Amino acid sequence: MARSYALLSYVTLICIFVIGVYISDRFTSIYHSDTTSHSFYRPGDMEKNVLDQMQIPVELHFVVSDNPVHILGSRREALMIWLEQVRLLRPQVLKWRGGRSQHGGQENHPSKLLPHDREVFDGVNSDFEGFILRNQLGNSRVIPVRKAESITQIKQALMMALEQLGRLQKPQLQLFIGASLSEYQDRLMAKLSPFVEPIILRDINQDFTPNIPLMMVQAGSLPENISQRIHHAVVEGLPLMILVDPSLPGEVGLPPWVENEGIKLRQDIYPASSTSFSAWIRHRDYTSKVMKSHDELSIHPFIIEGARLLPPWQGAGLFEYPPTATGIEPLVKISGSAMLVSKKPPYTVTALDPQRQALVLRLKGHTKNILMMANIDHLLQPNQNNLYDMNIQVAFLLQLLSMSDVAFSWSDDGMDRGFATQDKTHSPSLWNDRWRVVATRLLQEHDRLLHLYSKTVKTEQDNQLIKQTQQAFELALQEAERIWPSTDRSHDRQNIGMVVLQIMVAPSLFILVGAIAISYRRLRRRDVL
Amino acid sequence: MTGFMVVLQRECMAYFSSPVIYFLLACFAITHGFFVLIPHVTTLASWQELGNISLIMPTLLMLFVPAVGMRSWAQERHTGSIELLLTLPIDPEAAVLGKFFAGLITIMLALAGTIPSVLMSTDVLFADLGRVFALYVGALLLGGCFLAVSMMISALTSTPWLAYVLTLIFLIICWFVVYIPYLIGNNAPVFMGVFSLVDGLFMAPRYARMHMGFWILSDFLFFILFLTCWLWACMIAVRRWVEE
Repeated sequence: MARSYALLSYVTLICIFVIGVYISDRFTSIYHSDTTSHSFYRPGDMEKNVLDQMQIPVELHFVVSDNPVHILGSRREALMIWLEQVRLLRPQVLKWRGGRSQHGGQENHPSKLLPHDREVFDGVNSDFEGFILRNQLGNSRVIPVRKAESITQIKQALMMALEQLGRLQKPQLQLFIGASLSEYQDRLMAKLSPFVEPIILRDINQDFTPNIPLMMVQAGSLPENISQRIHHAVVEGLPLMILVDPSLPGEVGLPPWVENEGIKLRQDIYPASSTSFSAWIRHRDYTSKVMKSHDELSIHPFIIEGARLLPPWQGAGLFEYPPTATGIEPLVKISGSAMLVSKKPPYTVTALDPQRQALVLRLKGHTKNILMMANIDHLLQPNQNNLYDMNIQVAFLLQLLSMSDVAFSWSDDGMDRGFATQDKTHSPSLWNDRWRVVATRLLQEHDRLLHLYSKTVKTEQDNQLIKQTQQAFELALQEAERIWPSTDRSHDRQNIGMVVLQIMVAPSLFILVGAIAISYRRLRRRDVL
Repeated sequence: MTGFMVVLQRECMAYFSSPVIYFLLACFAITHGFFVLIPHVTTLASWQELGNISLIMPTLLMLFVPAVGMRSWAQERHTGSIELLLTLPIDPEAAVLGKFFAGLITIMLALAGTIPSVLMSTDVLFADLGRVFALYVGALLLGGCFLAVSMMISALTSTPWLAYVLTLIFLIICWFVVYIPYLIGNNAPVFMGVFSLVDGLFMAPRYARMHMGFWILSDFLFFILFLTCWLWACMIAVRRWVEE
């Protein structure tokens, strides 16, 4: 009797448990709170802006690897929570599913989801983990997730893809280049075309339309009358990206009216080589946007290692230098709308190589932005030694576009991350910066050495160069070794201290207290006896 | 609830008068510290992610908590002291709760020993204290659930080691069953459908949400319901002895 009563009670308990879980899930899952100080899960302005801009529905597949040890790991759950909340903002335009393995066999391989875009799955195997987005028009994007990517990076990549696929029209980009485009540059523009509509202006007098979203201009080659027309358009509200060429003496490249508006460029700045651009992009971890396979990424361990060290999107890969442009007046009026140019940054100058600086300057205004970038020639030049050039340049241009406030409707919060002034008070971030400089130098010397070694016939000059480059590489390596322990010492000391505390002190404390308690009890027992 | 405090005191005295528990606590802290140290050595990327800790904590609790709970009833039956306990004017419910809270105090001590390594792994400069707090609340609830299971299985067995092994097997199945769909992929849609229906009955996804700092009321209710049901089942088992 007692046994059957107990059995009945157990069955009743199981039923109570199942029903209770169902009821609590059904009615209480909307009551939640976020205990973290990071807004990992809350959709912010960035998400709201992007969803507001969407005109057509986009379907999002969250593909999880077959591998039980996921690339995403614990970030998977966080992304699911965030995605669900984003979807709720506008469920009519964003549909997503996934979170579980979407592909077990060949039939469900991610390439099956996008049969027309097979080429994007080159190098994708069953370990693929990431997102596949598709809109009603059949356009699609694939965003693979990499191990080193933070949640913020993944979120931003997703939002950018949503922005692109959710529009009926692609944003236009006008590019004025004096010289004719080579075959390589044509290919580059073709690569850009899924994201923007590049309009190449060969004769600015014919095609120039001031109501486009963004214009890129190679400032050095501007004839006076065109420069004036562009100035007029800027005054009327045309966002402009000026590609300056400050490497040539006397050809800093800024049109005179820019200076009249209060922007001065310092003479001692240099353009970056395309390697620096490449490194910069790779540091920014923009590889997901241009579909890199893992094999390609592993070619440059220095850079990959460097990218891992980056704090997510907080000025990642940027180097802060004293501003190379100064404002003559604190506030300059352009056609009634204020553009803020002050002595201390709202703008930030970035550079990678202390010897040859890449300059990307963003002047933040209330309604418009001027972006200056050195140097279009370098950017558009093919470099056969660099396998990544094409994709990196596309990513770089897109990155610039995303910063223009025009092509992509990022909120200030989302946009500023790339160009925000970094807080240098934390030693790890300072150390990251210094390490990045060294890592970039190492990469450059490494690339140069590879290039020199790859020559089948070497001249005397080449041998000299090899010697010099080897020396430079050695020096960079020494500096890397010097920097590694020196700047990270305080950080390490703290952690080693904590490790010792954890591994030694806490258990020792337990054993000590145990020994005292047991001895005390024995003593008391002896006293009683 | 007569005798709750008496049982609690007795159990605490019993736990902490044995050197075994101090050894277990030390082992817990050392193992946790060691595994938290690994990502620091191998990669800096996960240094701020807390992901590694979230995996280690349930695994360690799975090994540690049955060791705490195994002796709660099985030991009493093994030594025969259960007869004495049940003849005392103590409610079976109070006895169960007293033992449970004594075990919970032990778990809290074990968790306290891991605080330095958690702070270390979140890199003090970037520590998100809200998330650290959430991690510990989640771990405590999880530990409580494991303890309730352990006590129930201990109440059904007469040897502590048998109770330990059975609890461990049960917890491993309960915890890792949620990963089965990842292993079999999407080839069995019927299975996936069934699985999605019972998905809410597993602890792992709820704990994952909780330790990430995302608190949903239903997850709290789940843990409390789980814990209550197992304790209740334990009370039924104990009451059955009394009646027998």
